[in-house]
This record gives sequence, C-alpha cells and structure tokens, in this order.
Amino acid sequence: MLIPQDFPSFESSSTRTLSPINFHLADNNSPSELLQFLRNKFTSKKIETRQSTYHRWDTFDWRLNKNNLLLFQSKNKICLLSKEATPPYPSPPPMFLKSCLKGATNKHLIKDPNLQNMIASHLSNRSLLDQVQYNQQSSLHSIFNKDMKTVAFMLYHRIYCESKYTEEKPSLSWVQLFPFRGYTEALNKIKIYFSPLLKSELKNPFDWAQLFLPISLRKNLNYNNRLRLHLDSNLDADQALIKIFNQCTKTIHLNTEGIVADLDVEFLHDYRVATRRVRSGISFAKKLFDRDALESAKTDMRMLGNATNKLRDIDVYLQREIKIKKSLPTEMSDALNPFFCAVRKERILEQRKLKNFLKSNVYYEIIDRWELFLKENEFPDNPITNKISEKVGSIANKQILKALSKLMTEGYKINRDSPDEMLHELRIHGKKLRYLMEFYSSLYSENQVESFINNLKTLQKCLGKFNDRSMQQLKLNEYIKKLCIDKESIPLATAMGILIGNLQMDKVTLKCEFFTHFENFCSKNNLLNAKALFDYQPNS
Amino acid sequence: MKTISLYSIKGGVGKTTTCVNLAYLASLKYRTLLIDLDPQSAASFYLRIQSSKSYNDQKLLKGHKKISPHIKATDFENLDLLPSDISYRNLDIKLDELNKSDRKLRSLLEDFSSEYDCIFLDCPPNLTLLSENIFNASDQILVPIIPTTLSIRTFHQVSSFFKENQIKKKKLKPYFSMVEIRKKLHRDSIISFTKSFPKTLNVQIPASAEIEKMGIHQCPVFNYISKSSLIAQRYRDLLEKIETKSHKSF
Repeated sequence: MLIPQDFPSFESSSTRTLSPINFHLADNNSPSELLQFLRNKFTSKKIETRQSTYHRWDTFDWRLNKNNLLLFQSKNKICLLSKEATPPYPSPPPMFLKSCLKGATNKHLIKDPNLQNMIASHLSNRSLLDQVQYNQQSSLHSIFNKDMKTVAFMLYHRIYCESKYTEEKPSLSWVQLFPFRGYTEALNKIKIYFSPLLKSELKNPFDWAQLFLPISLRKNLNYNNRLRLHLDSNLDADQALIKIFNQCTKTIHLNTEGIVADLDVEFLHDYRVATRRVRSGISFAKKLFDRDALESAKTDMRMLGNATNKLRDIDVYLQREIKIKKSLPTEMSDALNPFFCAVRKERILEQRKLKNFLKSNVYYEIIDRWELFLKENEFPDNPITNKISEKVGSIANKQILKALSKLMTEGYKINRDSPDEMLHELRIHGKKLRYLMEFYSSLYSENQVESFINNLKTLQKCLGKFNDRSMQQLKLNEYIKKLCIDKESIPLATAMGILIGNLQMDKVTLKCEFFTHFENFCSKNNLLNAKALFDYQPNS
Repeated sequence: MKTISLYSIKGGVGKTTTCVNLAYLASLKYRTLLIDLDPQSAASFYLRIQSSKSYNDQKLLKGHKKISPHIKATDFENLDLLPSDISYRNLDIKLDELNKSDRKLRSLLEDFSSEYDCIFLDCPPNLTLLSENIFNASDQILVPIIPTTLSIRTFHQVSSFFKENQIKKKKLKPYFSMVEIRKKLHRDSIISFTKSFPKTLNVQIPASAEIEKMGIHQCPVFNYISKSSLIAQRYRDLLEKIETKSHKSF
C-alpha cells in the first residue's frame, strides 16, 4: 500500500504506480472539493489518512537556503534536498539520531560524516536551528474509472506551518497524483478536470520547498536585525518611541530562549542590540514620559547590558580564534591553545551565569516593569500634563542633528596622540546616531538615508574593530598577569606577547584608517546629504 | 523468471479463475505478470481491465517495446496484467507467417525477465500454433481436470500431442478442478487418473459458488473470502506445489 511519507515524497513507493505528478493547489481546497471536479467520469474512495510532523533546519541567517540546500528532519530521519540535483533525485540519506536534538549542534543532528562536511562547509561558525515546524495532514484516495478499476492514487497534503517566532500559522495544500501503469491517458483527463484548482506543477522537491519560503519565519536571503518600522511624521513623538520600544522588546523576547539554550552567539548579539536600542531610545525620551519611570527603565536596561557584556566579549574573541592564530608564526599558533581553552572554560561559566540571570526573578521583574511602562504609555489613563506634544517628524530632525553635531565635534578633537578612550567615546556617540537613524529612517527618503547610514556604518565598523582589539589586549594582559611563568608556559607567554604587539599594530593601522573614514564621513557630499535630509547646518 | 501457463483444450474447467487466483497469490511474494491470451478476455474482466484501443495481436508479436506500454497495473501490489484483445483470435495466422513460429512467444517473454519474477499465461481452450508456443514458453503447464470422463479424455489428447511433437511431457502438471467430492464419479475418477498419471499434483480445487462469484466481485477470490477457508488453502497448496516443482523459488 502506498502511504504518505514522513517527508514530502516525490518517489513512488508502489510497484503499481508511476512517478507522481505534484501540484500546488491555488486555494487550499479540500480533497472533496477537488474530487468534485472529476464530473462523474471518475469516482473516488478515501483509503487512509495520516498526520506527520517535520522540521526545517537552517542557520540563524538561512545559510543553507542561500546555498540552495534544504534540511528537513522528521523524528530520527534527516532529508537534505539540493536544488542542483537533477532527476532522478537521489534518495534522501536516512540517518538515525542517537543523541537528543535539544540544543542541537550540527554534530548532534547529522551523524553521517560526509553530510556533516557538506553542510559544515556552508555553515561556517553558525549552528543549525529548528526554524519552522510543518504539520502535515495527508489523505490517500483511490480514483476509479467506470469499470471501478483504480487508475490513480491521489495523495492530498495540507501543511500548517508553525514557528515559535510568530503566531501566524500559514497553510498550503498540494496534491500528488500517482498514475497506475497503463493509465496515463486517464491521468491526463484527471489533470484536465483538476486544472482550475491547480496553481503550479512542482517538478522537483526544491519546487515544493520553495512554496514555503514566503511563509517562513524570517525573510529568506534578507535576514538582518534591522528595525522594520514605518512611522508617520505626524505621529506623536512619544507614541513613535513606544512603537520602537515595542519592537525592541519583541526582539529581546525572541532571542532570550536562544541565549539560554546557547544555540548560536547571534542570539546574544541581537538581544544586546535590542537592549542598547532601548537604552538609546530612553536617552532621547526625556520630557516625553514620566521622569522617574524613565530613570528606572534606564537603570534596568543598563543592568541587562552589563549582564551580557562579558559573554559577548568572549564570543567575539572566540570567533576570531582562527584569525588570531593565523596572525602568529605557524610554529607558534598552537602555543595559544591553553589560552583559548581557558577562554572557552570562562565562556561556559559566563553563559551559565547569564542563563541563571535570564531565568531569575530579578530579570522577570525588570521585564515586567518595562512592559508595564510600555503598556501604560501606549494607552495612558492619566496623560502627563507637562509633557511636550511634538510630532515625531520634527523631533527626529532635532535629535539626529544633535547627535550628528556631537559626533563631529568629538571626532575633530581626535588626533594621532589621542588616548584609546576618546575613540571608544566617539564610538558610543556614533552608535547613538546610528540608532536614531534606524528609529527614524522611514521618515526620510530611502536612498538618501541609506547612503548616509552606509557612511556612518563604515566609520563605526572601524571604531568597532579598534574597540575589539583593545578588549582583546585587555584580556591577554589579564591572563598574562595570572600566568605562572615557568619553562612550560614560555611558548604561550611568547605567543601572547607577540599577539599583544600585533593587536597594537592593528590599532595603529585602524587609527590611521579612522581618520580616512572620519574625513569621508565629514565630506562635503555627505554633509550636503545631511543638509537635505535633516536640514543640517555646519554651525548647528 | 518462471512462466506458468493454465491450459486445457476444454473450456469451462477453471483455467482463468485458477490463473487469476494463483497470480494474485504469487504477487504476494514475487513480481508477477499475468498475460491474458484468451480473446474472451475473462482474466482481464476479473481484474476490471480493458485493453487499450491501440493494442492488438500485431503489437504483441512485435515484442517488449511495443507490449510494455500496454501492460496495466492491477489494483494489487506486484501484479500487472497484459490484457487480451479480440484480435488475438487471429494470432495463429499471424504466428504462422513468422520464422520459428512455435517459439515466438518464448522469445517475447524472455525480454521481461528483468521486470518480473514470474509470468502466468491464461490460455484459450484449443490446440493450435499458439498452444505450441505456450508449451515451448512455459516452465510448467497446469492443466485443470474436472474429474469426469470428457475432461480426462482431453488431457490424454494433450499428452499424446506432447509425445508426437517431442515436447517435454514433464512440463504437464494436471490437477483436479471443480471437484465435487460427494459425487462418486469424481472420487473414482481422481483415484484412477492419479494411478495412470502419478505426476498429477495432489491438489483438488473444489467446485464452489464463491469462486463463481469472482465474476460479480471482479477480483481474486481472496479479496472476499476468509483466508482460512478451504478454497484459499487449496490455492495456496497449488502454488506451493508449483514452487516445489520449480526446485527453487521463482
């Protein structure tokens, strides 16, 4: 008996039937609606129904998808589909999981070394995540001719997609027609009868998988953590900020589970970006909300930032491990292993600490307080009487201009002898401007604002790298201080010494680059752009 | 691949019912093709299959490439059917025009050896050039005999034909069909025939209204009778005997 597979099956498992023809149904019609179209020329009978669940795995940023690979998992089976595969499609390699998938690392999920290597080459440092769950209801129907002879099987699938990241449960339907040997003529007739309901023919498994792209959690091939807001310039400034805060809070929730399960370092990164955006937003919100409430929120958000700082620094360090080792003479690269081993151990402790914090009452109270603040200010019972009533369109310009002026003033103060701290400070000012741009970008012409943001990004990237090197130097110095220098630790100490020197050289180079980028940021063109966008005046 | 034919000069002895039921049983273990060679198309009718309009005796004689598109899947896993066509009534004339005309069917069937483990031939009730082809193509020729004088007589006619034409007689596998054991004539005929032809398969398919109902249900008898019934058991015994006689499985 032909049975619905755990996976979407494009192969016939019956000796009676030929390769199926697969169709996407236009309007999620039910099997009975579909079978009505047979117009008494054929009859049908439901044979069995089955439910199955499978998951689609990909990285945080959909790297497999970008490489035309689709990884499905159902219970203990893995199915990898490749767009490049030409018919006949290779059977999916069935594999059996021995270990639990919870907190899956790539190795846990995929046991086959060949498949592991193939996938790993596309993943780089990313982990595979359970992106979408597909709940499939299938029913198998016999289609009979006038002699009551079965001429085809119809396998109808309705698939509901679920994701922990969204409340939407989109669905789609597709049909597989398995013609019996010797009955292709009958199949052609059935196809004609069904044609008003058929949307497209799915010629290979990848076509099928493509159906799911529009209903996947994050926009494929376009993943980034940028705020997606559309603000009306006539919206009250406080309500605009509440909108921004709400979206940041959603991101905070979205990423918490990933941090706790330690699935991918990007969860922490996105979480931190969201909290920093909130902190930044709070600093622009004076006079728009109750002062005490803002102060309390500011303290809370700072606490969230502080709780995650150390782990993020370690993550950045570990992500650069290969590059750092490569920066040393080949014979010395292994000498750093004890250091990185210590960093990894430290990471485990820090991650545990953060996990405990994220599950603590203190954390829940912070989040509750913050959400209460948002709720009260979104629909205020007692509007603050002395608050300024300004529209977001006018306040955005003022805030951006202020942040831009500050950045430029502080930037011009920096020279080749300036201490590192001045560059760090400038980076903070740059971030504030960057966040403002992100908050309010929908109020401005897209092309102009993109160009301005890109210049700012280049400057910030340079400053970010400078900051990373400083933090890495700090870390190395801390470790060296604790190191008991003996015969065995000499190679490590030497390697670390070289590394500190390399980092210093990097910083010198980056500082030089900074002047170029800053000059570019302050170029006539960019400032003309700023003038057009925010009515920037050089003396403002 | 093994080829089993159900053959008798006499009509109405249970060739087609046995052929369909045995092919069904074989398909539970083997990739099976049933070829309906009788222009009456009874086997095709039992399986609810009609031949394509474009199919005829000429296509059959052209071989695998022309035959294959006209093979139809039955409603049973592993069981395909090449339906009969009314044009088969002229098969003898068409065969006569060919070289090695008594071995044509054998060469045609050889091309299906990679697709099927066994082929069952449901034969028309006559003794013609097509029959000779069937004898040469078959590994075993099952001859249903109703334990009555006329039916036994026709078996002897076939047996003589084999002798005269130097066809291996050991291929002939008579068995008793439509047996009504309460009739003395049937009981006596079975005893005397088995004595004179000791290679008779020791299986008796009873005369049964259930088997006759295959025409109503249009499916193998196993689809509507109990698996533990006498009829079911007898057909299983018959297949087992054929497998044993084949020395190894199909």
